[in-house]
Amino acid sequence: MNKRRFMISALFFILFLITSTYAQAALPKPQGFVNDFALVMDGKSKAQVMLIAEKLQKEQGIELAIVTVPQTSPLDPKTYATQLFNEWGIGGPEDSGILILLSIDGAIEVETGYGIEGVLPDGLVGAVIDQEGLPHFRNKQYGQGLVNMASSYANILAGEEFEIKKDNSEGSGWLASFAIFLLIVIFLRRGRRFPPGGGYGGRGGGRTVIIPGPRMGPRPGGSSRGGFGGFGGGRSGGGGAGRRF
Amino acid sequence: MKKSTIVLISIAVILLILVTSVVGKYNQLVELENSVDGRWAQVENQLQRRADLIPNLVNTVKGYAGHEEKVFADVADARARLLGANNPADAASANAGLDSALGRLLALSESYPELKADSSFIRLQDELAGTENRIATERMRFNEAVQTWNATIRKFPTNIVANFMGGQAKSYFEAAPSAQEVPQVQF
Repeated sequence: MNKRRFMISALFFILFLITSTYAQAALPKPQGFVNDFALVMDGKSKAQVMLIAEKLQKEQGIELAIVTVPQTSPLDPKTYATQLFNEWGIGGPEDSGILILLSIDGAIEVETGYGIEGVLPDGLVGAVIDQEGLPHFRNKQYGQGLVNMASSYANILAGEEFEIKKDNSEGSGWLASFAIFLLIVIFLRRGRRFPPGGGYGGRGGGRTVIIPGPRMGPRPGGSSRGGFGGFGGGRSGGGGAGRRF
Repeated sequence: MKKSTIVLISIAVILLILVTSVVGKYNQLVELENSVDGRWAQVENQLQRRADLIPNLVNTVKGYAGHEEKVFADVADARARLLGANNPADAASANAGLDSALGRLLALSESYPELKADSSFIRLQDELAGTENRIATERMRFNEAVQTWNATIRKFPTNIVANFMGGQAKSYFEAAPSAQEVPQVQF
C-alpha cells in the first residue's frame, strides 16, 4: 500500500516537472499571419506569403501562420510547433489551421489542425517540404522556400471551405450566470411567501443546476493583441510533418 | 419577524448552500470523468491509426527486403498486441513494444537504398511519424486529465462526493519499465 502511494506521488512529481518545464518556455505572441521572428525573410516574400494567407482566410476560412525563429530550444521543434499552434489557436471553429514553423538552426515543422488533417495528410505535407522547402532552406533562401511551400499548400487546399471565425462565445457565460442569478432571486421570493414552510425551500436546490466552468482552451478571437485581431481558436493534435536540414 | 421564522430561514439557507455545493461538486466530477474518457478515446483513435498504417508499410518494405521475415513477424506480433490491449497500461506497453519493432523495420532502409528513396515509403514514414506525434500529444492531454481527476477525488470535501459516486483513481498512459528495455541486437 505504501509502495503504491509512493509510486503515485512519484508520478505526480514527474508530471509536475514535465508541465513546469513546458510552462517555462515562453512562446512569442502572434504579430499576424507572418511572424518573422528570426528576421530571415525579405520584404517581397513576406508580402507574397501574406497575400496567400489573407486569401485563404477570407475565401476558405483557413488560417495559415508562418513563423521563423532562431531556435526552439529547450523544446524540440515538433513540441514547439504543437504548443505554439494551440497557444495561438490557429484556425477557425472547425480547427482549420496550418502552421509552418522554420527554425534557423535547421528544422522545418508543419503542423496541421484537426480540420485540415483529412484534406492535407502528413505524407503530402512531407512531400511538399521535400520538394518546395528543403532545396531552398539548404541554400539559406528561407523566404523563397516558405513562399513555395505556402503556395503549394494553398493549391492542395483549393476548393476546401471551412467556417469563418465567429465571436459568439463571449456572451454565453454571462447569460448563464444571469439565468442562475434570476433563478436564485425567484427562489428566494417564493420562499418568502410561505414563512412557516420556508425550510422546504431547501429542496429546490436538488434540481440539477449545471454551473458553467471556465471555458477550456484558447478563446476565439482574442482582441488584445495590438494591430492583429488574433487567430480563430483552432486546435491541433500533433499532425503534420517535419524535416531537419 | 418571529424568532422561529429566522431560525427556519437560516436552516433553509444553510441547506441550500450545502445542496448546491454537493450538486456542484458532483457535476464537476462528472465533467472530469467525461473528459478523461474523451481523452482516452482520442488516444485509442491514434493508436488504431498507427496500427492501420502498419500493413501498408510492411508491404512496401517487403517489396525491397522480402527475406527479412524475423522483422516482419516481430512487427506483426507487436501490432496484434497493441490491438488486443484494452486498458491504458497495457496499451502503453504494447505501444512501446511496437516502437522498437518498427524501429528495426525502418532501420532496414539503411541497407536498401532503393527502399529509402521510394516515394511511397517516404510518405508512409511521414504518416507514421505524424501519428506518433499525435499519440504523444493525446497522451499528454489524457495524462493531464487523469492527473486532474486523481487530484480532485482525493481533495476534501470532493472526496466525500467521489466516494459516494464510486469514483476511483485512474491509471496513466505510461509504459511499464520492462517495455522500455532496449531490445537486444545480435550481430
